[in-house]
Amino acid sequence: MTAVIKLWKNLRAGAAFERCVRPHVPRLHRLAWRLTGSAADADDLLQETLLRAYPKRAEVVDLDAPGPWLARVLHNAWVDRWRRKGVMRHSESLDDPDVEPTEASTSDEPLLVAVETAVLDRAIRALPEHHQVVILMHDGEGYTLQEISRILDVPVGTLKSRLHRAREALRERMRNGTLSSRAAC
Amino acid sequence: MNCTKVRETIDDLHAGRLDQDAARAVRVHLDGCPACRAYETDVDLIRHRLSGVATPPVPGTLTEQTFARLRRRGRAPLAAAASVMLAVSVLAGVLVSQLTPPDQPEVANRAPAIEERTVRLAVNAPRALESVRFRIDLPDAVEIQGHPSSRTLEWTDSLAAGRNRLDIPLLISGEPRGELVARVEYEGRTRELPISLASAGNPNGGR
Repeated sequence: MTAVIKLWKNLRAGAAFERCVRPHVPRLHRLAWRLTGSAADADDLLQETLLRAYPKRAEVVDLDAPGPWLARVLHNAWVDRWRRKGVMRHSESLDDPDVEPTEASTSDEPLLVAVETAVLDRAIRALPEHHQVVILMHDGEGYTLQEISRILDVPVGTLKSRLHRAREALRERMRNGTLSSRAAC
Repeated sequence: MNCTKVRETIDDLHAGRLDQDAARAVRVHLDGCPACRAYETDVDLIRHRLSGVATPPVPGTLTEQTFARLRRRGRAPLAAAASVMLAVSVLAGVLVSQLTPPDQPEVANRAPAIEERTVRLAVNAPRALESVRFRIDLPDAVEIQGHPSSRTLEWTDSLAAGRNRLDIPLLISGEPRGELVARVEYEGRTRELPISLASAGNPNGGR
């Protein structure tokens, strides 16, 4: 049996960056698409993510699980874009749902059974941004709350609460027939 | 356990992250609470719908173009660095019994006038060895991928007993002059192998 000496790893090579990052590109692109809602914007965001990550390639290739690290770069790039555009999609500082208690809905019937995917997608995009992000990452892309915690730098407990709130909000909006409320755009 | 707590815990239950007692408590609650079961069903629906959405594929050229751009960005002028030529010396009692050039060099062209080539070395070690020093000196017009400004690369690694493979991914710009020299050193013993890169199909240098 031949042992392989990992030159790329030992040298922290830029070539290692490619090998390390390539397997994560499809998932990053999907995440970018989910966040932006546009294929063209997803392309741009993915490209910007890789360009941002490359100068830190030595750090990337040393990671056991670079996926969340790269997703963090992507998310930060996405947030920066919104900031550059001067768009506030929600006013997190004025509305801190993480500390407000959520009343558990009392409906005995599932509320989302008959909802089409497109309608659900619109409803999600009408949620406050930090709720959108957690539900898209967790329920859409399958990131664990622990991974999302590293990506967003938010405690797991807070994320757990956000996820629950986001789901309850979706159910409530479906129940009321309102697909948009306080989202600005 | 109240409904809110149960609902916040459902993901942990599904993922098997709860200990036995906690899992049992959540299940007992779910059994007796239709509203939480409805919530659980909706959570499954949300997941199913979102994960089943057809997402656009990554455009075929996007990744390659981006990585090519990164490689160009990281590439320093090759001609600026001087070639380093090492004297070939084989000491008695060498630890490496064989260094061979690649069986099948991998060649791919991704950028104009830049050839990608992987040089594969086989390093046979008589036993497992720690703290083995590796050094690679590059001729003009040659760089190791990801190390655009380095003419010499050195690192320490271990070797497994028997055959070890070392792939050296190169970017060759134009016709290289001189040889790539690989050196393996352990306990003061050194084995050096010069490899000509003049021809992609026929590198020589096995010693």
